[in-house]
Amino acid sequence: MLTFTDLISLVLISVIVSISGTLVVFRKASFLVASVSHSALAGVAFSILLASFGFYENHYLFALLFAVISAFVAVYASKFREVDTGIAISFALFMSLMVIFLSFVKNVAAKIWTFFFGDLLLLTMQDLVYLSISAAVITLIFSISYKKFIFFLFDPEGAEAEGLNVLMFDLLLTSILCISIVAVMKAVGAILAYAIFVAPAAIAKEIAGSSKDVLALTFITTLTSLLIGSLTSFTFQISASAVSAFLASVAYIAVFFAKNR
Amino acid sequence: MVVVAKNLSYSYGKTLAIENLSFEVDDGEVVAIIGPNGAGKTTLLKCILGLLRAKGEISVFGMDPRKDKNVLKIASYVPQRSSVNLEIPLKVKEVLAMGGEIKDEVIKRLEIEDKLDMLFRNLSGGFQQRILIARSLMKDPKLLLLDEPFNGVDMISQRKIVEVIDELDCTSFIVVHNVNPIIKIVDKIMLINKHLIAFGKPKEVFTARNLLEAYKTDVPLVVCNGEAVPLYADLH
Repeated sequence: MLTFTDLISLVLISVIVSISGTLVVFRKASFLVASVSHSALAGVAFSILLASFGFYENHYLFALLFAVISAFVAVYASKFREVDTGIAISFALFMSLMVIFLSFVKNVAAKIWTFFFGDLLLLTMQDLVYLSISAAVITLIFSISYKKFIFFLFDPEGAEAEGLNVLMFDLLLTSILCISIVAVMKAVGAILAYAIFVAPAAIAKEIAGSSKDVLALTFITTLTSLLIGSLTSFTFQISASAVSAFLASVAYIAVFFAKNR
Repeated sequence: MVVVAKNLSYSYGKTLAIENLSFEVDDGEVVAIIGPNGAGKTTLLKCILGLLRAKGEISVFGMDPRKDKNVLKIASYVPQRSSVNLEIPLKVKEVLAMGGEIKDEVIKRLEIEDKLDMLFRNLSGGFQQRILIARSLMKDPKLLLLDEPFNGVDMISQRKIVEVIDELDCTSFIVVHNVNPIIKIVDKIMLINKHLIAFGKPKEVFTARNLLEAYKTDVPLVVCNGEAVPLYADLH
């Protein structure tokens, strides 16, 4: 059965995803999740490479560093070109770096698989601490700046004309996303992070009656998916994160067709 | 004069947007900015607000908007409705609150009392535009800049918007393609195509020669209430 620690982890992940997922879906930059999560993998690979030279191994630190650089490159590029071009270039750059780093440490490269697919039920106390700090920081920033975030996302030109530094808010949003993805990467995996971050918020956006409802619905959908995924994992010995991502994606498809039939 | 520009120029990288625009606008005047697509109309609005750092001289109520952000406190900008993100389910009152404390007087003036609890994205284009204009009026601006406020807006909302602008006690710049809805309330027309082609009273600006220079094609003029205006609908 799920332990108390597992339950706390699932709730923390749901808090993080409800805020970041909502922001990224409102920002219409869902692919940024895929780009950032894969760039974070390059950071993990770099950390593994450094460890092979005897340095202290800190996956989170380098995953966050690489994720932030990648996301800022994408956001900066989007000022001049379409945002998907910046995301695609950033994605390609960091995935290639990951492969290059790992080719130097083939004997320990398998360590990265944990971050590729994740496991909701194999989080350590260090992971839980990182999740807690991330959830607290993100919730604090978001609560303080909620109205400004919504103004910037709803009407960036109008917000700028009211004196809001829209570039700063874009970078802040991106930083929140980076912290979030790195925090949950070991639990849900870089590959499945996309579904966990985007699908619940996309569902909520379709049916919610206000922006606050989107947050609440995203939280509920994420937590439900994660809980069912984890319980299924115990019963059928299959990946909890994969089942959670699958459920969230299927739920989105169902809501989409129900609303547009 | 509350807005004064001398040799105002702005380029996006190597692409010239506006070049050597010079004009003066008095307090309370309503100025329509017209010109073809890519003429630099929106760029000019952003330069007046200081959101784009133009070359040349610009003064707004005695302040240089490039250096003094207080301009943004007295000015309100209504962007093109198409730039608003309709993905976010926001209630009308949430949108209005972005402009400051909600004033009942503004809500009544734009006749949106029954829309406050509705989702902005579910409203018609006309009412969405009314809401955006209402939001801009919440802080009682001295300078109002509207970017294509009549695009996709029905005649009823057009008339309401024109009526509200006419009653305002502030200086207004309105970017339009079709000047006809506001022809009765404008004091001056600014015809631009990167550079200033004509600036003055409608009858001074609307000449076949000026319109040909701006649009590079013949634009029919019709006489309406003694004034010659471009026949915009004829282009469709």
